[in-house]
Amino acid sequence: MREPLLDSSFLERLERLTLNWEKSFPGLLGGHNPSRFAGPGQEFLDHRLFHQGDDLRAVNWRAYMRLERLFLKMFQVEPRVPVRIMLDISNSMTAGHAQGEPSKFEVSRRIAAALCYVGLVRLDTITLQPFADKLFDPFLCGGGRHRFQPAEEFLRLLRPHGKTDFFHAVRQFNTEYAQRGLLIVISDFMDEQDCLRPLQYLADFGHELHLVQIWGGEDRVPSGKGELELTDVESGDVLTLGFDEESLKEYTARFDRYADEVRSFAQRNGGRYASVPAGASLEETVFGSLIRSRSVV
Amino acid sequence: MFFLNLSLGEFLALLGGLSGIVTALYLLDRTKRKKVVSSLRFWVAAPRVDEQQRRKRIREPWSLILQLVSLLLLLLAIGQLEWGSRENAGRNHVIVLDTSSWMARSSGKGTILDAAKKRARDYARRLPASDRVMLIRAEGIATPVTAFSNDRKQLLRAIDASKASYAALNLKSALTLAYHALKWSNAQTGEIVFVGGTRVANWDDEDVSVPRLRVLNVAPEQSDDIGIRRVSVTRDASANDLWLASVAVRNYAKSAHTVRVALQFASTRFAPRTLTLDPGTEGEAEYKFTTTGAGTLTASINSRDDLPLDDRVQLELPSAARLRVAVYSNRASAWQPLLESDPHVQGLYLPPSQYSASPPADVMILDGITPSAAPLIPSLWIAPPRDHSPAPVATIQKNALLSHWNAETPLAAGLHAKELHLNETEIFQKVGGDTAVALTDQGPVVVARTASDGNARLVEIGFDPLYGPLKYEVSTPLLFGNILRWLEPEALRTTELTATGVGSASVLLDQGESAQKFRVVDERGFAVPFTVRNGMLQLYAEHPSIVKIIAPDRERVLSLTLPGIGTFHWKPASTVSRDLPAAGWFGSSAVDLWKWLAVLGGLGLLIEWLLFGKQRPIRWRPSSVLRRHAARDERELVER
Repeated sequence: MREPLLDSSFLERLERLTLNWEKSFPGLLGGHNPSRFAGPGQEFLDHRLFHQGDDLRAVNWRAYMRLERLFLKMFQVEPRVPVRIMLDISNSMTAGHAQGEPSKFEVSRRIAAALCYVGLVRLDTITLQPFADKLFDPFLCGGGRHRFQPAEEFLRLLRPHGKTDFFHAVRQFNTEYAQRGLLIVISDFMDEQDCLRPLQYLADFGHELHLVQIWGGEDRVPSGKGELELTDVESGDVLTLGFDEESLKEYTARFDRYADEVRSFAQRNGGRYASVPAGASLEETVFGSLIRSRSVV
Repeated sequence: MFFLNLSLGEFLALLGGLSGIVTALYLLDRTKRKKVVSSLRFWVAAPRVDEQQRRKRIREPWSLILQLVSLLLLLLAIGQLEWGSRENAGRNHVIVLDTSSWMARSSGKGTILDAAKKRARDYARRLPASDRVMLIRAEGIATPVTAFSNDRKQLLRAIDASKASYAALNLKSALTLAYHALKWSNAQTGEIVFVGGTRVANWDDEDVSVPRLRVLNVAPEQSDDIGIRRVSVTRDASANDLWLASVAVRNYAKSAHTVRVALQFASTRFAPRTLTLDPGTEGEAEYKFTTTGAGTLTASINSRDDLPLDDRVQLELPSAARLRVAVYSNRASAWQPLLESDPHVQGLYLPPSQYSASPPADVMILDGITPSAAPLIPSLWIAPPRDHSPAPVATIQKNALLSHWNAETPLAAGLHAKELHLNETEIFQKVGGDTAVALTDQGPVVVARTASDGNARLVEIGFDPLYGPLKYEVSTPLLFGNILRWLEPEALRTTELTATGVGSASVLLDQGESAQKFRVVDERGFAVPFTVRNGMLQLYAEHPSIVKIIAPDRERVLSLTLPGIGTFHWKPASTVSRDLPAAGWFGSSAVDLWKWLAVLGGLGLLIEWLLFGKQRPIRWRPSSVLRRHAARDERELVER
């Protein structure tokens, strides 16, 4: 039996979260959480469990009388702000994790699944868009939590391949997705080219960017010293060099500076940034890094 | 420092070769380390160490040093490196502990043996741990107790378990055994250490010596011991109830002593005798007493010395029983002079009409009668009726000449000298196991038959020995004496009792006594080994015991219950070491280091593998300061 990406107890905890974005997109509902739910008369869509703070007026009291549990009625609201999750599945996501850590690819799939579930619970429309040097087939889902299973299956079937090329991927994205919305980019941002410039195109286009940078322990503080023969997992390029503690110190500082650049970029463009070590647990990532960055609230 | 298995050259050659291999493998192992990374962008920008310069140096030099040092240690372990003087390594020593009876003497606190044990323990503790020691207990015989071993606990246990025996010290055999054990042990020869006294059993032990001898004498110079050496009790030949006893007392002290000897039989105390004994001399007190009953004879002296074991001795005397002879005859008056001339014989004269197959007697004489039933006790038949003789009568010969006595049977002992004229005699036919004792030219006239098929022994005389001139012949009482002794040897056997010391015992045999006729048994009836040499019967008893030397006509009882005390003093040569060796006298022996070296070598390799191995569980990590900084930066990176 295949192990699910997210277990049921964790999904239950995710139900109280909401994807958060700041921008108001013209012609679209949403963007501000208070207006997320339509008023009476909207088309009924689904029930969900009542949580503290929910509007008591939406409680299905009939169901409560029968089942003695509080259920909240949810209604279809159209049109909504599109939420798109760009998931990096390049080969670089399979390298750089330290011993005992899951791979960055595995972590990114689980984060994407969690964010997808949060969006589905809040009746957002989610597009899962894998990419490497181009965009791969997307998966569109929406309409409540019961649509999560196909999304999870889609994520599970993803396999890492290809070389990171943000420029081509972004250009293709801008061509295919004309409607602006929330764009969550989950990647290690390990592009040999400058990835910030293509991302700037996206921001300039009007998307609200949430950048989730995943990095492995070996990416930031590589082990081993002496004479090293390094092979780039994507390009296959080989680099031989001598490495010592001083070199390591400088290496880590450069990595941190790069992460700062990505973070500054996101903030400068009104977006969010979360730095996620591959060794961190999913709970710590969602309820720690992502909430701190206000990607979810 | 030396190698047991390798010369220095071999060792260095081996070390050099293996070190070269290890270094080559090390350099091969420390070539470029391959690593797959997510991106080269940060590596390209990171400052690089000059590779050419780095190759000139050995990377991870501690790994190589650890490997080489571990290799060196393991090679030294294989070479069985020892530290110290090899000359002193693993010598063999023999401790000869005197456990003779003399060591039971009290001396202040405890006995002399306790002091000897302490000296032996002190000596053992001064030996280097690698030296091996054999313990021999010396008494009448020398007994190895432990093999050569460096197990000191076992040695000390054996020393502590030693007890004083009853035998005198046979020093020569003990030292000879120690010498040969040391010689044949095929190891570095150490010392023979004698711990004990100097009183020895044999005169030829006085100047005995062996090489590398050390003597730890624990016996005090002054000795006031006086003891009973021997008690002999014999029955007087002239009277059945008269006993002759003699008590020999020896003065072991170096000054003259007067001692009172007391003798008691059952509840009767005899007048004590006073003996004044010069140093090293023996005196005897003799007693005569009359008794027919059995009882305990106790001899004692009033010496209050340090060895009470030899101040008192007891002997069990048997009752003075006589041979009872039932005579069925019509002429009792003819038999009385013959039988009553021997004090050991008691006659019971009965008419033939009162015949009983089992009268209250040891032997019966049937004087020319025909018994109504076969005798159940040994019997002597005198001229039995021809038709009722146990041995068939072949013929009756008149005017016969008894010309031949069978010297091979004890029945004819002393009767081979003279021919006897017989007026009339029956000539018997021998049947089965019959033995002819006396013969005429026509056949046997005296036959003997041993017990068989429930029938008792019997002797038949074909003529009347009390008739006519025969009763005046010397041969007649001799023949009767022989016949009665043969028919019931137990009753006429003389008894001699002697109490003497445990250990070797010698008994002077009479001329003509043959070893083949002896039985030597202990009080339980088990045979005791003995030898007969130069007319002396010699045997050995390790423990106090009673030994019976049983001959056909006499029984000697040796009560080996007195402690055997040597009467000679051993004088060790002046060159012999006489005290405990000083501390460190033996020098420190070589210390075997190979186990420690092997452990250290293995530990070194383990540490090297943990720190530098490819599959190492302890990976190389940046220094702690760098790690702290990196962790802090990571927190900031995540939380910003």
